[in-house]
Amino acid sequence: MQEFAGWRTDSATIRRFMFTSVDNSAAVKFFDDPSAVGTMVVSIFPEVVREVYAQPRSAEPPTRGGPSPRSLGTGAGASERSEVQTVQFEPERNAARAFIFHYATAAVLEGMGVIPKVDSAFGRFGNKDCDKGSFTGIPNARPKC
Amino acid sequence: MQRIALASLIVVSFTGAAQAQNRAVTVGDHLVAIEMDRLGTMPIYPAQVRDGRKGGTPISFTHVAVEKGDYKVLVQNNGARRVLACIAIDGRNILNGEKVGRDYNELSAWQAPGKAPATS
Repeated sequence: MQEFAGWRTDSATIRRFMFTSVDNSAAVKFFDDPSAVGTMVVSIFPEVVREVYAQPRSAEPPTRGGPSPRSLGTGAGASERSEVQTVQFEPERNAARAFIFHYATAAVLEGMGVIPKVDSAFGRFGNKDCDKGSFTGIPNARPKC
Repeated sequence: MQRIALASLIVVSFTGAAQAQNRAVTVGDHLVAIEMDRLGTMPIYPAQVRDGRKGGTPISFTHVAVEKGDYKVLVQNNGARRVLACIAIDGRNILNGEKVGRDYNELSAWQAPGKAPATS
Protein backbone atom coordinates (compact mmCIF):
# COMPACT_ATOMS: atom_id res chain seq x y z
CA MET A 1 0.00 0.00 0.00
CA GLN A 2 1.41 3.35 -1.02
CA GLU A 3 0.43 6.42 0.99
CA PHE A 4 0.27 9.94 -0.38
CA ALA A 5 0.06 12.31 2.55
CA GLY A 6 0.62 15.79 1.21
CA TRP A 7 1.48 18.34 -1.43
CA ARG A 8 5.13 18.11 -2.44
CA THR A 9 6.85 21.43 -1.84
CA ASP A 10 10.43 20.37 -2.58
CA SER A 11 12.51 17.24 -2.87
CA ALA A 12 12.55 16.70 0.88
CA THR A 13 9.26 18.13 2.14
CA ILE A 14 5.52 17.77 1.80
CA ARG A 15 2.68 19.72 3.35
CA ARG A 16 -0.07 17.53 4.71
CA PHE A 17 -3.41 17.15 2.95
CA MET A 18 -6.05 18.67 5.18
CA PHE A 19 -9.77 18.86 4.56
CA THR A 20 -10.73 22.44 5.34
CA SER A 21 -13.13 25.14 4.25
CA VAL A 22 -13.18 25.98 0.57
CA ASP A 23 -11.85 29.47 1.35
CA ASN A 24 -8.87 27.96 3.15
CA SER A 25 -8.11 25.39 0.45
CA ALA A 26 -4.86 25.44 -1.49
CA ALA A 27 -6.86 25.82 -4.69
CA VAL A 28 -8.20 29.17 -3.47
CA LYS A 29 -5.29 30.44 -1.35
CA PHE A 30 -2.42 29.55 -3.67
CA PHE A 31 -3.96 29.15 -7.10
CA ASP A 32 -7.08 31.32 -6.96
CA ASP A 33 -8.93 28.61 -8.83
CA PRO A 34 -11.77 26.88 -6.97
CA SER A 35 -13.24 25.33 -10.12
CA ALA A 36 -12.29 21.76 -9.23
CA VAL A 37 -12.50 21.92 -5.44
CA GLY A 38 -14.03 18.78 -3.97
CA THR A 39 -12.60 16.35 -6.52
CA MET A 40 -9.78 13.86 -6.48
CA VAL A 41 -8.47 12.00 -9.51
CA VAL A 42 -6.17 8.99 -9.34
CA SER A 43 -4.96 7.86 -12.77
CA ILE A 44 -3.13 4.57 -13.07
CA PHE A 45 -0.53 4.21 -15.83
CA PRO A 46 1.00 0.75 -16.32
CA GLU A 47 4.65 0.32 -17.12
CA VAL A 48 5.43 -0.22 -20.77
CA VAL A 49 5.99 -3.83 -21.65
CA ARG A 50 7.80 -3.95 -24.96
CA GLU A 51 6.62 -7.41 -25.92
CA VAL A 52 2.96 -6.42 -25.69
CA TYR A 53 1.25 -4.44 -28.44
CA ALA A 54 -0.95 -1.50 -27.42
CA GLN A 55 -4.65 -2.18 -27.22
CA PRO A 56 -6.83 -0.24 -29.69
CA ARG A 57 -8.66 2.71 -28.24
CA SER A 58 -12.34 2.46 -27.55
CA ALA A 59 -14.61 4.60 -29.69
CA GLU A 60 -17.01 4.94 -26.79
CA PRO A 61 -17.61 8.59 -25.80
CA PRO A 62 -16.48 9.69 -22.34
CA THR A 63 -19.03 9.84 -19.58
CA ARG A 64 -18.93 12.93 -17.44
CA GLY A 65 -20.72 13.80 -14.25
CA GLY A 66 -22.40 17.11 -13.54
CA PRO A 67 -21.14 19.57 -10.95
CA SER A 68 -21.33 18.34 -7.37
CA PRO A 69 -21.95 20.49 -4.31
CA ARG A 70 -18.80 21.58 -2.52
CA SER A 71 -18.46 21.79 1.21
CA LEU A 72 -14.75 21.26 1.82
CA GLY A 73 -11.48 21.78 -0.02
CA THR A 74 -7.98 20.51 0.58
CA GLY A 75 -5.56 22.82 2.32
CA ALA A 76 -1.82 22.63 2.80
CA GLY A 77 -1.23 21.65 6.40
CA ALA A 78 1.85 21.02 8.48
CA SER A 79 5.18 20.41 6.78
CA GLU A 80 6.64 16.92 6.97
CA ARG A 81 9.96 15.55 5.85
CA SER A 82 9.54 13.28 2.84
CA GLU A 83 12.57 12.58 0.69
CA VAL A 84 12.06 12.02 -3.01
CA GLN A 85 13.60 8.85 -4.41
CA THR A 86 13.83 8.04 -8.06
CA VAL A 87 13.38 4.88 -10.05
CA GLN A 88 13.53 3.98 -13.70
CA PHE A 89 10.03 3.68 -15.05
CA GLU A 90 8.51 4.09 -18.48
CA PRO A 91 4.74 4.54 -18.28
CA GLU A 92 2.26 3.93 -21.03
CA ARG A 93 0.76 7.06 -22.55
CA ASN A 94 -2.81 6.23 -21.63
CA ALA A 95 -4.12 5.35 -18.21
CA ALA A 96 -5.38 1.85 -17.59
CA ARG A 97 -7.89 3.17 -15.04
CA ALA A 98 -8.91 6.45 -13.47
CA PHE A 99 -10.69 6.88 -10.15
CA ILE A 100 -12.66 10.07 -9.60
CA PHE A 101 -13.83 10.93 -6.10
CA HIS A 102 -16.17 13.69 -5.09
CA TYR A 103 -15.49 14.41 -1.44
CA ALA A 104 -17.87 16.30 0.81
CA THR A 105 -19.31 16.30 4.30
CA ALA A 106 -21.95 13.74 5.18
CA ALA A 107 -24.53 16.54 5.33
CA VAL A 108 -23.86 17.53 1.74
CA LEU A 109 -23.98 13.91 0.58
CA GLU A 110 -27.27 13.52 2.42
CA GLY A 111 -28.60 16.56 0.59
CA MET A 112 -27.57 14.97 -2.70
CA GLY A 113 -29.34 11.74 -1.82
CA VAL A 114 -26.07 9.78 -1.76
CA ILE A 115 -26.42 8.96 1.95
CA PRO A 116 -29.89 8.11 3.26
CA LYS A 117 -31.22 10.54 5.82
CA VAL A 118 -31.48 9.32 9.42
CA ASP A 119 -34.37 10.57 11.55
CA SER A 120 -33.09 9.44 14.93
CA ALA A 121 -33.49 12.09 17.60
CA PHE A 122 -30.10 11.09 18.91
CA GLY A 123 -28.25 11.11 15.63
CA ARG A 124 -26.81 8.22 13.69
CA PHE A 125 -25.46 6.36 16.66
CA GLY A 126 -28.50 6.55 18.91
CA ASN A 127 -26.39 8.18 21.59
CA LYS A 128 -27.27 11.71 22.54
CA ASP A 129 -23.80 12.28 23.96
CA CYS A 130 -22.39 11.88 20.50
CA ASP A 131 -24.26 14.97 19.33
CA LYS A 132 -22.39 17.09 21.83
CA GLY A 133 -18.92 15.78 21.32
CA SER A 134 -17.01 14.76 18.26
CA PHE A 135 -19.99 13.28 16.45
CA THR A 136 -18.86 12.83 12.90
CA GLY A 137 -22.21 12.47 11.15
CA ILE A 138 -20.68 9.85 8.89
CA PRO A 139 -22.33 6.43 8.67
CA ASN A 140 -20.23 3.56 10.01
CA ALA A 141 -17.60 5.94 11.37
CA ARG A 142 -16.74 5.15 14.94
CA PRO A 143 -17.72 8.08 17.17
CA LYS A 144 -15.04 9.33 19.49
CA CYS A 145 -17.52 9.84 22.31
CA MET B 1 13.17 5.94 -20.20
CA GLN B 2 11.91 8.46 -17.70
CA ARG B 3 12.80 9.09 -14.13
CA ILE B 4 9.76 9.23 -11.91
CA ALA B 5 9.61 10.21 -8.27
CA LEU B 6 9.19 7.12 -6.16
CA ALA B 7 6.51 8.92 -4.24
CA SER B 8 4.26 8.48 -7.23
CA LEU B 9 5.15 4.91 -7.99
CA ILE B 10 3.39 1.90 -6.69
CA VAL B 11 5.72 -1.01 -6.44
CA VAL B 12 4.39 -4.37 -7.45
CA SER B 13 2.64 -5.99 -4.57
CA PHE B 14 0.78 -9.21 -4.19
CA THR B 15 0.09 -8.76 -0.53
CA GLY B 16 -2.88 -7.26 1.23
CA ALA B 17 -6.40 -8.36 0.54
CA ALA B 18 -8.93 -5.84 -0.67
CA GLN B 19 -10.54 -3.83 2.09
CA ALA B 20 -14.25 -3.71 2.77
CA GLN B 21 -16.05 -2.41 -0.28
CA ASN B 22 -17.44 0.65 1.42
CA ARG B 23 -14.01 1.76 2.65
CA ALA B 24 -12.14 1.62 -0.63
CA VAL B 25 -12.73 1.51 -4.34
CA THR B 26 -11.33 -1.67 -5.82
CA VAL B 27 -11.40 -2.20 -9.55
CA GLY B 28 -9.36 -4.93 -11.13
CA ASP B 29 -5.89 -4.92 -9.60
CA HIS B 30 -6.11 -1.42 -8.13
CA LEU B 31 -7.43 -0.14 -4.84
CA VAL B 32 -7.84 3.48 -3.76
CA ALA B 33 -8.99 4.74 -0.36
CA ILE B 34 -9.03 7.95 1.66
CA GLU B 35 -7.71 7.67 5.20
CA MET B 36 -8.19 10.40 7.79
CA ASP B 37 -5.77 10.55 10.69
CA ARG B 38 -8.56 10.62 13.29
CA LEU B 39 -11.17 8.42 11.64
CA GLY B 40 -9.39 5.84 9.53
CA THR B 41 -10.54 4.98 6.03
CA MET B 42 -13.62 6.91 5.06
CA PRO B 43 -16.89 5.47 3.74
CA ILE B 44 -17.33 5.51 -0.01
CA TYR B 45 -20.63 5.61 -1.85
CA PRO B 46 -21.44 4.87 -5.46
CA ALA B 47 -22.01 7.93 -7.62
CA GLN B 48 -25.31 8.63 -9.30
CA VAL B 49 -23.26 9.08 -12.46
CA ARG B 50 -22.48 5.69 -13.96
CA ASP B 51 -18.93 4.61 -14.53
CA GLY B 52 -17.78 5.40 -18.02
CA ARG B 53 -14.80 5.62 -20.32
CA LYS B 54 -12.62 8.44 -21.48
CA GLY B 55 -10.45 7.86 -24.52
CA GLY B 56 -10.54 4.15 -23.83
CA THR B 57 -9.70 4.53 -20.13
CA PRO B 58 -12.33 3.11 -17.74
CA ILE B 59 -13.41 5.73 -15.19
CA SER B 60 -14.87 4.99 -11.75
CA PHE B 61 -16.98 7.70 -10.10
CA THR B 62 -17.61 7.64 -6.36
CA HIS B 63 -18.43 9.91 -3.41
CA VAL B 64 -16.50 9.89 -0.14
CA ALA B 65 -17.82 11.38 3.09
CA VAL B 66 -15.21 13.35 5.00
CA GLU B 67 -14.85 16.01 7.62
CA LYS B 68 -12.20 18.55 8.49
CA GLY B 69 -8.78 17.14 9.31
CA ASP B 70 -5.57 15.67 7.90
CA TYR B 71 -5.77 12.78 5.48
CA LYS B 72 -3.87 10.54 3.09
CA VAL B 73 -4.68 8.96 -0.24
CA LEU B 74 -3.97 5.22 -0.22
CA VAL B 75 -3.25 3.36 -3.45
CA GLN B 76 -2.52 -0.32 -3.81
CA ASN B 77 -1.48 -2.27 -6.86
CA ASN B 78 -2.22 -5.98 -6.73
CA GLY B 79 -1.22 -6.62 -10.31
CA ALA B 80 1.93 -8.16 -11.67
CA ARG B 81 2.97 -5.02 -13.57
CA ARG B 82 4.36 -1.94 -11.90
CA VAL B 83 2.17 1.13 -12.29
CA LEU B 84 2.49 4.89 -12.00
CA ALA B 85 -0.19 6.57 -9.91
CA CYS B 86 -0.83 10.21 -10.79
CA ILE B 87 -2.97 12.09 -8.30
CA ALA B 88 -4.79 15.40 -8.59
CA ILE B 89 -6.64 17.01 -5.72
CA ASP B 90 -8.94 19.96 -6.36
CA GLY B 91 -7.66 19.92 -9.93
CA ARG B 92 -3.95 20.19 -9.04
CA ASN B 93 -1.16 17.63 -9.44
CA ILE B 94 0.02 16.85 -5.92
CA LEU B 95 3.66 16.69 -7.02
CA ASN B 96 4.05 20.00 -8.84
CA GLY B 97 0.83 21.99 -8.36
CA GLU B 98 0.15 22.07 -12.06
CA LYS B 99 -3.48 22.20 -13.14
CA VAL B 100 -4.74 18.89 -14.46
CA GLY B 101 -7.60 19.25 -16.86
CA ARG B 102 -10.04 16.77 -18.27
CA ASP B 103 -7.31 14.81 -20.09
CA TYR B 104 -6.24 13.08 -16.89
CA ASN B 105 -6.35 9.78 -18.79
CA GLU B 106 -3.38 10.91 -20.89
CA LEU B 107 0.13 10.99 -19.46
CA SER B 108 0.90 14.30 -21.18
CA ALA B 109 -1.65 16.02 -18.94
CA TRP B 110 0.48 15.16 -15.91
CA GLN B 111 3.86 16.16 -17.24
CA ALA B 112 5.22 19.62 -16.61
CA PRO B 113 8.82 19.70 -17.88
CA GLY B 114 11.13 21.66 -15.64
CA LYS B 115 8.57 22.02 -12.87
CA ALA B 116 8.64 18.58 -11.34
CA PRO B 117 10.55 18.14 -8.08
CA ALA B 118 14.17 17.11 -8.33
CA THR B 119 14.35 13.52 -9.43
CA SER B 120 17.95 12.95 -10.41
